[in-house]
Amino acid sequence: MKINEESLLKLMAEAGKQRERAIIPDGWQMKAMRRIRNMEPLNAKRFDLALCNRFVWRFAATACVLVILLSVYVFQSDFHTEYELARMFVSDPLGFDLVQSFGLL
Amino acid sequence: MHKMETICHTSEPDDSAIIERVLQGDVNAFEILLRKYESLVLRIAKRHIPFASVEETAQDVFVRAYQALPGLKKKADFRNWLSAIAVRTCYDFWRKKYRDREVPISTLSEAQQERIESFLSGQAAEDYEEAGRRKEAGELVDWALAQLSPEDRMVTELVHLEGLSGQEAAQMLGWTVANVKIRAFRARKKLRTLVNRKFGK
Repeated sequence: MKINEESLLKLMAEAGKQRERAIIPDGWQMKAMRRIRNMEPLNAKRFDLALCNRFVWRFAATACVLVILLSVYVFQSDFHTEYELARMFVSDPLGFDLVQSFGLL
Repeated sequence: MHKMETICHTSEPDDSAIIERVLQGDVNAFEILLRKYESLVLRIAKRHIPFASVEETAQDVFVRAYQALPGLKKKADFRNWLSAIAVRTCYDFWRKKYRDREVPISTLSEAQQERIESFLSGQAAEDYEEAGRRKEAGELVDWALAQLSPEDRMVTELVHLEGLSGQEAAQMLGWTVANVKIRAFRARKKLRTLVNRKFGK
């Protein structure tokens, strides 16, 4: 006897109803509440979270302003990374030797 | 007087007010939510979890809901939010079972196998509502679902055992509707093949 699509769907729907008929004894609700009462109250956690959020966002705003200011400064002072690095090494023989000794240049 | 009583009876605090009390540190107020939604959570757990683990899973659902409460944005939507937590807790239950390899691959005894064979051979004309047949239907589906992955299992149970739409199932699992539909189709095909291979003659 091969099972077809329709029979399978009917079978599963019946199995679902069958599972729902199971009776769970009371008592688990009290256990759940006991577990919850043993945890830290949410207002304490909420305070930490709020405090953390406030600082993170305040810092984020400051960081953004700093990045914008630095970008403006770099563009206005005609800063070119490769050129500035080369100039730094040439004008600083000690640093240049140190870099050379590491085999980087 | 009767009207007044009705009004008083229906004017119980709404979910948002209770949630606000819980968030302000009134842990006992959470019991009001637990009592209000215990049947919803139990119904979901019973459809997805073996009977022996339903109680513990229902507890886990409420503990997880309590822990996640500060992150709930739409407080009036608590019911749907809790349903999604219940479904994901059940999904995590199966994922853990599969990871720990605690899921028996084939648990059908000879007697069960015989009962299912006779059930299937007469199924076309039978009414599934018949009390004696329900057990066999349940055993067969339990056996077949145990062969699927946790993802396929959850999708099949949500769509075919609970009767949710693709969109509702997607919302519960946090997946896309297309993913749910594809998985449900493949899982159904796999189930049919499994049952036919085992019992088809």
